[in-house]
Order: sequence, then C-alpha cells, then structure tokens
Amino acid sequence: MNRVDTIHALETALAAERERTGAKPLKGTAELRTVRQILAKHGGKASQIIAILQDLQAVYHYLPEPELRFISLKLEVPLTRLYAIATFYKAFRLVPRGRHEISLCMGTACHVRGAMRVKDAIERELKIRVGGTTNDMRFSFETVRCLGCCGQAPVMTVDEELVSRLDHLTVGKALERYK
Amino acid sequence: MSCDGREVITLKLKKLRSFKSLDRFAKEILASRPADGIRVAVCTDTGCRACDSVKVYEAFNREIAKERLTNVEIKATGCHGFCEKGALVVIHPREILYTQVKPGDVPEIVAKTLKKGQLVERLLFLDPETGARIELEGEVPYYTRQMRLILGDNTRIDPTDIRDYVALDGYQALRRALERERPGEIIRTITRSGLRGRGGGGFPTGIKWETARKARGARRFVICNADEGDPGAFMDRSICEGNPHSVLEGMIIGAYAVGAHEGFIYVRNEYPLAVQALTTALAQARQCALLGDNILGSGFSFDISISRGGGAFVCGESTALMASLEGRPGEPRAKYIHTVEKGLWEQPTVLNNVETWANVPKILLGGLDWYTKIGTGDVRTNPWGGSKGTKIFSLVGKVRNTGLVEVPMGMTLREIIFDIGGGVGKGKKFKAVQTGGPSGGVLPESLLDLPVDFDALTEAGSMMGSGGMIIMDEDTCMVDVARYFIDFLKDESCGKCLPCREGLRALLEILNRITEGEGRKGDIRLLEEISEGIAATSLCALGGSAPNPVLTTIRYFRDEYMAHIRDKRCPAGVCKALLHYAVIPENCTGCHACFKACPVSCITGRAKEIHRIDAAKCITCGACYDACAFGAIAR
Amino acid sequence: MKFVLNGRARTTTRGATVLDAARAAGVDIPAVCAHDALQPYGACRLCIVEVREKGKKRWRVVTSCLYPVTAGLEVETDTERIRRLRRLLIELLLARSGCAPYVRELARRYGVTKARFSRLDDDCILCGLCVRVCTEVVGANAIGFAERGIGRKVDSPFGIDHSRCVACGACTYVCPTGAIQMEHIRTGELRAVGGEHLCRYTLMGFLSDAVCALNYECHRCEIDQKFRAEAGTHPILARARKGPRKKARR
Repeated sequence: MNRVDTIHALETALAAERERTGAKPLKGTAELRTVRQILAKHGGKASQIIAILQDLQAVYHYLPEPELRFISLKLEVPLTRLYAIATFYKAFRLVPRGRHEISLCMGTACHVRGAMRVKDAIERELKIRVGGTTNDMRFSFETVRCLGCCGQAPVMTVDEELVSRLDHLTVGKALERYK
Repeated sequence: MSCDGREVITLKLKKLRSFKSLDRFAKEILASRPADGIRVAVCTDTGCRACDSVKVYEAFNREIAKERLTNVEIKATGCHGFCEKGALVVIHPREILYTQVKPGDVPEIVAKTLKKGQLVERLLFLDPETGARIELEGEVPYYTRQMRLILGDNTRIDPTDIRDYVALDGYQALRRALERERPGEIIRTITRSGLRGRGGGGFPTGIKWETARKARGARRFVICNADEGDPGAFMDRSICEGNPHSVLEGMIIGAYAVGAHEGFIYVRNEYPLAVQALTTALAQARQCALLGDNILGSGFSFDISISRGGGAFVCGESTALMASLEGRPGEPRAKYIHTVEKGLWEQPTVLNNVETWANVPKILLGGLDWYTKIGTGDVRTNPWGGSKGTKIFSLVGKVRNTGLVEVPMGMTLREIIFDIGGGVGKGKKFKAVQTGGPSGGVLPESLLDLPVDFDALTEAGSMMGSGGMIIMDEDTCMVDVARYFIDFLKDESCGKCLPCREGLRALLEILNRITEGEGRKGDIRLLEEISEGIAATSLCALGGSAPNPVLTTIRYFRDEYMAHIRDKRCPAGVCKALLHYAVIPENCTGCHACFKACPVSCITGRAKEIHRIDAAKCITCGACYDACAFGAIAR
Repeated sequence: MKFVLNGRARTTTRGATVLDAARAAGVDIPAVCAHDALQPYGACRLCIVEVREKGKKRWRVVTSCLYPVTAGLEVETDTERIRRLRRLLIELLLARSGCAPYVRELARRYGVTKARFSRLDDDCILCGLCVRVCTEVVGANAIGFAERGIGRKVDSPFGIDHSRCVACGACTYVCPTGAIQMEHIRTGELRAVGGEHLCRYTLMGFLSDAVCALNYECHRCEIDQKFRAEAGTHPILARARKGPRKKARR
C-alpha cells in the first residue's frame, strides 16, 4: 500500500478494503466516525491502545488496515508498534473471520478429558484446520488455553456462549444450529 | 437483579462521607430484610450456567411471583465450588443444599421447601459412602473438610449488589484501616500475618508493600493480577465474578498502606464476565464513595480502572503485565531492579494476585491471632517461615468431585484429592497430580502425603503455584503431559530471548519424536541438558520454570519414557503413533458397540458377528476401546 | 564503587553495568545483542556471568549487559557452569541460524561443533539491533517486531509497508549476519520525497535540504565519504553516542 497519511487517501483505501472483503462500502467519513468514537471513548491515550483495538475488532470482527493507519496517525503511535501489538496478542486478527467463532478449550483439564478428540472431530466435520475459516464464512475455529470452566471439561464457546461436556461423537450435531 | 446482562447494573446508592454512615448503611440493609426472610442462592457461575442455572434462576423468580411469596428473595450468585453437582441451589437461612437442579424442579422446590419447609429428597446430595441424603450444605462431605474463608461468602452475595457485601461486614476492614490505623501499622499487620502471594510466587505480601512504600517515585500504583493463565485454574475468576468487592476492598486498603492513588485490575481477555462483574462493582463502590475521591470522608482518594488482556499467557508475569498496561507487546524485562521500585511507568508498583487481595480484609477483621493459627510453620520472626491462611484449589481432571476447594495450608494432597475430591472413580487408578500449572510439575502416588503449602511441594520438584490441581489416572500418558505443557509454553513464549524461544522448540521436537515412536538413546539426557540451559538463562519465569513438567515427569515416570523410547510403546494408550487397535476375536460378542462408536466407520461386522478393524482407515482415536464392554479391543 | 571481578578487586563508576565494567577492566564477555549506541536489550543471553551480592549466600546467573554493579558485588565470568550454559546457548543459535557465517564463527570459537536438533536456517538471529537502531537512533520506526515465540520476526507493518524508511542503511550496518538488506531499486524510491531527490543525510537530519545529484550512488559521493571518515562508523551511530538527536524527516 502506498503512503496514506491524509484522510482522503485513507478513505480511498477504506473503500478498496471493503470491496476486497465483500462488505458494502459506506460513503465518506461514516466509517472513520466509528474509529473516532472509539478513540474518544478512551481519551485518545496511547496507553489504551489494546482496549482501543479490542473495541475496533468488536465492531468489524477483525482489525482493518485503514483503521489501524488512522489510529497510528491520531495517537502518534508508530505503525510498527500497532502491527507488533496486533500480531503479538492472540485476541487480534488481521483478516476477516467467520460468522460464528468457535473457541475450543485445550486447557489441562480439558486435555485430560479428551479435548484432542473433539478437536479432530471438529476439523473433520468442518473440513478446516485450527485457525482456519470455512469457505462459506460460516465458522472460524480457534483453540484457547483454558476458559476457566474446568469442572465441565471438555468445553468450547461458540460466539462466547459456552457449550460444555463435549464429546467427539456429538460435537458435529451441536454445531448444526449455528447458521 | 439481572444475572446475565451485558449492561452495568445501577442501584440507588448514597455517598457515604463518614465512617458512621457505613455502619448505618449496614444496619439499614439488615433491617430491610424480613424476619422470616428466605434467600435462595442460585449459582450462576459459568460452570453452573452450562447446566441451565440461569433458567433455574428465572424459573424461581416466576414461581415466587406467581405464588406471591413476598418474604422470598432469589439471588444469582457466583461459584459455590461444587461444580461437579451443578446447578447448585442453597436456601438460606436453613442452609439447605440442592444439587443438579433443573428448571423443571423449581415448582416443586417452591411448593414444598419454600412454602412448607419440606425437603425435596431426590435433589439432596447423596453420600456415596453411607447412601444417605444430606440436607445441609455444611454437612456435605465435600464441604466439611474445607475452610471456606474466601469462597464461603459467594453463596450469600449477589455480585451485582454491593449491599449484600456490606451486610456481611463488607468494607468494615477498610473503615477500620482508614479510621484507626496508620499505613505503617497496616503493613506491619500484613507482614506479621504471614500472608504470601497466592499467584504462585509466594512472596511475603507485607515485605512487598513495605518496600514499595519506602521506594522513591512521583506516582505509586497498585495492580491486581487477574490474568489467571494457568490452564485448569479458575479460582481467581470465581472470586472476581462471585465476590468482586472483596478484591476491591483489599486493593483500597493496600493503596492506602503504600500511598497509591491509582489502581488497575488486569483481567485476561478470556474472562468477559469477570470484567463485567468488576465493572459493576467499581461503579457501585464509587456511588457509595467507597472508591474515588475522599473515601468515607477520610480524605484518602484512590480509584481503579480495568484493563483487559489480549490473549497472552506471558502477561501473567508482572513485567509483561505492566508492559501490556503501558500499551506495548507483553514482553517481560529482567527483574534485577524490582517492580516495587520501578514498575509501571518506572514508578513503585505493588502487584498482587486476586486471592491475595481478597485475604487482606479478612486478616484485618479477624486479627493476627486467628489468622496465624491457620496454616503451617511459624512466621513470628520470619514471614517466609510458614504458609498461613487458606488456599483455594481448582480440583479438576480425573477426579470424582471436580470444583473449587478451599482448605487451610498444610492439608495433604491425599486428603484433598481423596477425602474431599472423592478419588478417581470409574474404577480407574490414580497416577499423578499436576500442580502449579505449566510452571509446576507432577507428583506420583508415593508423595500423596506431602502437605500442600508454599515450600513442601517445591522440594519435590513441583510447586503449589496459583492453585491448579489436575488429577491424572492410568489413562494419562506422562510423556504426553510433558509434551502438552511444552507445546503450550512454546506458543505462549514472547520470543524475545534465545533460550526460551529456541529451547522450547528443541524440547518439543524431542518430545514429539518420542511420542511418535522415534525416540533415541540419549534423548532423556538431552532433554535434561536443554532444560538446565533454559531454566538458568531465560529472561523471565516463563522460560525459567518451563522445564519443570519435563523434569518431574522424567524424575517420577522414567520407565514410561523408556517404554516409549526403547520399546516404542505407550503404556497409557494415548500416543497414537504407538497404538494399534485390533479386535480380539475370542472376546468379541458382536454387540456392535464399537461400530457405533467409530467416527470414521473403519469397523466392519454385523450384529452377532466378530467385528474387524481396518487398520488402514483407523485414526487410533480409541473410541472403540472405550465402547467395548467385553475387553475385545486390543491396543 | 568497589567490586570483585574474577577474584580481583576492581573499581567502577556508579550506574555501570557488569558488562561495561568488565570490558573496561579488559575482560572479554561475548555479547551479540549489545551495542554501545543502543540501550541494553538482554535477548541473546550470551553475556551471562555468575554474580553474588555482598552478604548473600547464593550465586546467580545473570546477563551482564543489564546487571548493575553494586558495592561489594562478586562477579565470575568464566566458570564451568557459565561455559556449559554458553555452549548450550550457542548450540541453540546454531540450530536456528547455522547458515550465517557469523554464527558458525561464534560456534567455532566456543567449541560448539553441531546442533543436536533440527535446523531452521533463518539468518536472522533476532538480536534486535536493526529494530532498536531504527527506533532509538534514527527515529524512523520503519521496522519492528511482529508475532511472538518461534514465529517472532523483524518486519515492516503488514509486511509490505516501507513508507517510514529513510533508507539510511543503519540497520544493514549493525546487522551481524546480513539478514537485513536494502533493495537498491527501492532505495531510490524511499529517498525520493514528493518529487525531490533528497540526500539521505537530509533524511537522517544531518543536512538541510541537500539534493542528491548522483542518483543515489552513495559510494561515489564525496559527502558520504566525508561523513563516514569523520564518524569511523555509520554516521547516525556516531551521532547517537554523542547525545540527543533530531528526528529523521518523513
């Protein structure tokens, strides 16, 4: 991408980004309004950068590049630092994800109660690997290290809703209700 | 009171601008409760939620409205601890415990117990030893051996209502501290109590506070570490979600003691409900002037903000946590200069774990004589000389009674796992207990009589850690356990320093080879050599303690390693590459159970015929082995 | 301040690190990620020594580049334990970056002949010198670290954005293995700002508004030769040693 240190260039980049990912492009500065609001909510403080990125991702389900550039300009934080943060912390994604996010717990208690088998079952069922997204953008599949529900192991969350006492034979059926 | 809502719960609360106003507030709350009042505590912690406890809660509310029971209050509470038997309901003041309650049971409970005081027998806990039903929560064996100083209040508190906390002497410790004690005195009390860090480090809290108080800096900070990254541990989550005010009160007292006016609670990203509970609690505490400007009219001002993690285990390490708070990647730094001297923004910083903070008000209210009687050792002249107070453990894995357990320091592993936990169950045999998370190690059956405290387990090669206690049975492969932890740590390593980043890669490679049947002579020695290097030269404690799972499994289960390396065999039946499933024709009854269990349909055979496994299609998942009741599958 | 180095009493200034004090006393300690123009980093761990604080019983293994000398500190730089640990560290480095001559030479010097695990053959040793020089000295923040753990790497934002680079060449200069290089074609693009072909010394903040007349063939340029001769090193590093700098233009 070329240098985009003007708002105009950012908007052009935003439009191109939306087209690339298949989302409907909005007019003018409507989308930058969202990121501006988020920055204002956190007082425009660079130390709040992780919370800012979390709020941004909550809206778009990933971290779009034009918004990150805007944040870099506004907070006067080098883009390298934003990129480092976005790739260091596993909560962040730089590419769009599926409609439903599956997070399978691979904590010790779950592991000991058969989480690996459940993982294999999900991979077979959805035909994707951990970290992937189904072709129809229906599911994204991640593993996490411990959701803290060890008494109900093995567990997973789908869209932050807990599904517990999983079984490699029935997990496929459990996923059917998510369209 | 919503127990699900994503919004902050607001109540009408008055600012308390004097110490006496807190007492009046508490009196008002107690007076407002009817003399014949019944309070039903429904556990809505995440574990019980998965057992539909929210629907149970809603059913109760509907029923008491329908029956017009004005003296009954339904409370959605945090974790009661007996997660195996969720959904849990406790009825105060009689302290009746109902287990595994379903929404459909609620009308009966309301009609019989709430209206007529009669018991619904089938919902009472059934003691497996005696076959008797037990009515009272306090008499259930799971609880009788526990000492629930910190968790016990969970069944009496709706975390979204500060008034429940105040009614239980909440904020009285803070009041006493601000009214009658000087910071130095508070620190002396905490030091003499022997309170040591519950996050795993076990550092004497009083010494930490004293050093911070004396350190030089324009600003001072107190931080609550709610990152709780150890897989298998959920104690801190349950405190934050079930009794958030206990943490806040501890932090305010600590801030007063060290002279800090700004505090942070750093909650890991995977705990959104804890963030919510804490946010509500902070808002209500501010409304009451128990937090913020001029607390209780004392002139002391202190406020707390919440920060969420980004999904990094390493951010549980203090310097990485502080880097994250400063808006940077969570890379630790060397601690040659301690964070109490130069921590957050290079200022003196006190960082303590959730459970540590929750102990502070209890110590100040209960007194030194009482607190120092609980636990082990002698701390009168040396705060390192013992382990005082209780510790909460998450007892999970292959154990009958999974859940949270709070016991005095010094109870043995055997008592916790067998007397409280009910042992392994399902006819399986105990093999090992893993404590201390990825920084800890495994301990075998021969060491079950070790007392659990800060020091005894360390000598055996493990550590108590933050309280995760994972029980493993004969079906757990210890080499696979080592591989599991190294795999975890390799993903969580920040990657800055050479020994941790490259060393964990090397360890994982060797462990993978061993579990895939390609172990070589000399591998154990190589594992030990790399482990020494990583432990001695890593930049932070993640690398520094990473080899513990490997070293303890080698120490106590060496023959299992040898079976993998020399005999290419996995005795526990876990390492797929070393397994080969086949039907034993003499034992096969043709019951077809294996066929139904197989996820890839690699078993052929009709009912009453001897079945056969196609080894080429078999993915060695072991489902058939588990399904066969006739011992007809060999591996 | 008095301390003990390898059994001999020495003195050093307050605030000195063990590494600085040792080098001043003529004792050699290997330190790959240390550079006198940059803040100490503590990533390579090769500068480890054993220390014991005055009055304490235990010896600790610490990185000398970051450890401050205290009164009465005892330091041992070449114990059996240090040699063993250092050899293991170099073995790990060799497995990662055995393709780089710098690493092979380091291994040879300390007697490490081979690595007992698989090779990555990544010539970047993640010493961080390039990132730190770009951030601390040049002030361009054009490159940084991305990812974590074994996936950690030096990168420009999103892997493709070179817009902040002033093509000063400091990163290439400090890199021990040659893993980071500038592409000659891009150099010209990066130094051209808004149609002007600014001299890279303008971009680094040394000169005002100098324009390049040699199409960026710096090796033919007298200005460049003069700066290098005066500095004895990459000019921006020499200036860093002297004190505060102006931020690079961009």
